[in-house]
Amino acid sequence: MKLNVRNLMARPEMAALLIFVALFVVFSFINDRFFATGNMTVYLQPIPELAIVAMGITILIIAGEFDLSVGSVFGLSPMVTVLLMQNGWPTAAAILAGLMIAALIGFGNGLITLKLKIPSFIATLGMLFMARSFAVVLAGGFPPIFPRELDVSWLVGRLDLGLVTPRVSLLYMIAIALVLGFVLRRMDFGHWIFATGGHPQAARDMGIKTERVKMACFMLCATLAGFAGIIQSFRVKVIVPNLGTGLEMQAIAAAVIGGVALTGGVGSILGAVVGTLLIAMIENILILSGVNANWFMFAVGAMIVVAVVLNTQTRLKAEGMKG
Amino acid sequence: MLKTSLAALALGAALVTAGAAGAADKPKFVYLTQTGIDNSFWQSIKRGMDDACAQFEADCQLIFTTPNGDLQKHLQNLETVVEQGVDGIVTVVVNDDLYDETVKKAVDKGIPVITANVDDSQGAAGNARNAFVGQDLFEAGYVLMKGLHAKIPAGQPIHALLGLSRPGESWAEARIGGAKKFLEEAKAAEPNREITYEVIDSSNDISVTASRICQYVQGKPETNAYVDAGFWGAGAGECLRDLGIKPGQLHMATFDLVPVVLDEMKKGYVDITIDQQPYYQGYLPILQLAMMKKFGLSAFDVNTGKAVVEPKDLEQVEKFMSMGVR
Amino acid sequence: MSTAANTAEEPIIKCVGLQKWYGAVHALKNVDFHAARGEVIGLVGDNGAGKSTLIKILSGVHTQDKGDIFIEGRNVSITGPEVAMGLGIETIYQYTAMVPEMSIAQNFFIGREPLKFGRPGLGIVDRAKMAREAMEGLRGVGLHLRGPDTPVKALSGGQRQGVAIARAMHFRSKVLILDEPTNHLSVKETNKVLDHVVELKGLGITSIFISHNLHHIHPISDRIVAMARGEKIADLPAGEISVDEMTRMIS
Repeated sequence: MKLNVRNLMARPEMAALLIFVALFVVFSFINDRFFATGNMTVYLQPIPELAIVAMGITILIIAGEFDLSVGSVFGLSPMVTVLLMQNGWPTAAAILAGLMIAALIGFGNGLITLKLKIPSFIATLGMLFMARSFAVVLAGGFPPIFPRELDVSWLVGRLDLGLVTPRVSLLYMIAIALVLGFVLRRMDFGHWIFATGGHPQAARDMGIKTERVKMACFMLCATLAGFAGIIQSFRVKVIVPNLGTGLEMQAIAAAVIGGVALTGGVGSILGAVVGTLLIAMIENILILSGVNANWFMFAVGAMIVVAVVLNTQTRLKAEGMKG
Repeated sequence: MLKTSLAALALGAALVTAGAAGAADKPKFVYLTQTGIDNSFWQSIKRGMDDACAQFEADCQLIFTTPNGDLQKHLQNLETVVEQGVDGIVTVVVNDDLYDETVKKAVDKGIPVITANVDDSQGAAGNARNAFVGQDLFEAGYVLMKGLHAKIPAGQPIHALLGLSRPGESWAEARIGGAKKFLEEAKAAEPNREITYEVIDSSNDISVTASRICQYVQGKPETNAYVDAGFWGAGAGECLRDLGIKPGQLHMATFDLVPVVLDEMKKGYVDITIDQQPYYQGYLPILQLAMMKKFGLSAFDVNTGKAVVEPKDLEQVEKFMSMGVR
Repeated sequence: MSTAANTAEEPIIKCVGLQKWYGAVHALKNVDFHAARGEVIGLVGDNGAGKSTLIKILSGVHTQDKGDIFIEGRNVSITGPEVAMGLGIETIYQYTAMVPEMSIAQNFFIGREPLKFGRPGLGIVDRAKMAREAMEGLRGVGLHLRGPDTPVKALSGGQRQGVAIARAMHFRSKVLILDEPTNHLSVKETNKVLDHVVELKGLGITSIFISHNLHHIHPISDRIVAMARGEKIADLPAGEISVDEMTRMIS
């Protein structure tokens, strides 16, 4: 029993989960409008979009690399998709093309980082600007009009669960989270990702092709960001070239709150989801409480520090417990 | 350690929520914008809003968006507020389609919505809002270009640069659209005069805008007129001086009354600016919402932005600016 | 002539005329090397003598520019660590090649996870088998640790080397390269590692032992190979040379 508690506490997302549950309960008591059907519905709407980006970032950081270009890819993919739809492409093909562009950007990030041996922080910082510029160029300065008559219910339709009505995209998020969680924890490739980020030299010496592992993670991260962008533009039925500006910092914040270690080799998919839920919840409660959103950034910043401190504390405590 | 941290968190949360509890019986109005807190222009709007809220005993909240200009986040904030159920909403509408559904939902729920500062480019036909308080953006752009046209001696060719601060956002497109319309009309009216223009993405970061203008002018020295979709173009004064360009060589027109605009106007680099009177845009929507709530009166459109300011008006304008109302 | 007789005569590992350049640096100059089954070879030399280049080639981290390597008489080209491991050459590194955040069982099978389903890279790992075999392997080298899920960062340096040795044995290595395995270890832990090497000899496993500490190497080695400036300068039975003579030779 004691051993189980220790293993549980050593999990990277534990601190974030504790804070989330505690704040959720506190907010529900303090503000009766917080845990209300309408508010929960609105609260959940953008969660899948940010969480999917945060999951991709989490996996990439576990593998020991970084991606600052996710916000730009988030804007570029739907731009490509909507433009192609406007030119008469079927929706499925247009979405596929949008995802392939994202994967291509991820491939470029990997190529620059791994072949030219420069830090991914720099490589993807460059890509942040380049991909954003592609989106602006494609929009031709004047963004295309989203086909508003298009049936998007399969992706972002409302899902009436009685208590809340989230979007269908929440199911996609859960499916992606389950698959990625399975890959990380139960598949050999997941072990290789943790090994590659946890100790690159050991991974290489034990015969893991670390460059291939990292490349796969770069491409996965970018593709997820592109998919999340498509979800968002389909939900709000608008495509503008600045979609997703600044998203990379939110996604990284969500991943870090969720327990990812920037040094690589530590992190979890559940953490990315909980980190996202936490950030969005803070924002929600600040608006409900009549606090000017000027304080929002402060709250997120404080949350990052508190979560990481709690994280370190719980893990130290877990290590100190003898099983 | 764990327990203390969680307790501290809970305490913080309690304080945050308690702040709003005292004002339960006052009407609650929320004002939303898509810009970030770094936009100094919004401080005048906030001043107007605060004054109105004090006067009509309302509980008001101004919600900025982080990151700056993230339309989805702005929409998300709006939806949260509509769900929460308040007594009135003031918001900007910077995209013709994005907000339609939520605005309708609010109005259907009985929450009056007044758009301010920026409206749907289709006006009242664009969405379900009750009224608009702000500048007629298209007309203002037209007036500015007309003002610059008057400064350039007749017969001299015109090459105008139009700075589209945020491509794709309706307010910028409308203002620059107005300037374009005047230029097209001028071309038709003076067929023998060489009148040309070009539109660039001039950005809404003052230093970026400044360098883009100066780089453009170096490439096309025949440029003699510049219209900015905001106030950011005024930042170019510095580098124009460095390039040795004299006042009057490049006539500039900007929007809004902010210190940098007035400063460059004194130095002769900005010829004309148009004040959309942000204090009104903060004050009047709250006034309307308060009257609707109190006496069941209806909302009405107000064009706050025809106040052209030229160098001769500087002295008077500065007096009011020091009061934070202009 | 029968193949059995053939392999018995062949050294398990034989290198002929190995050369390696790092840019302009000639790190390995025409080196011949061989080892018989069950032999313990002490590989000594100062920093930059070429011993580390030699073992990096054998373990697949680098590839030689010239020369041939024969494993049990077969000419092989070792293009990567996974190829070396496939040929039965396992390496124990000074730093143990363990990922601290991962568990003992995970580290035991890193890069070579047993699968319930699928093929390597796309497979579902058999966690029960990993836990079972890791613990069996550890017991095999006399290590009794908490459990297969304990993260490696919770182990001492000596315990980590124990796991590394158990890992190498589990994968039925024929040749074990020990690259400075006793650095940073306490006296007690060092003795334990040295004992393991002697045990391996009993199992017919060949060991190539690299260490700065000649007192560690000398008593357990059958043969001493000394290198300097990229060349092999001595190759003789351990009984024919004393520690003092070794020290003079390589310094």
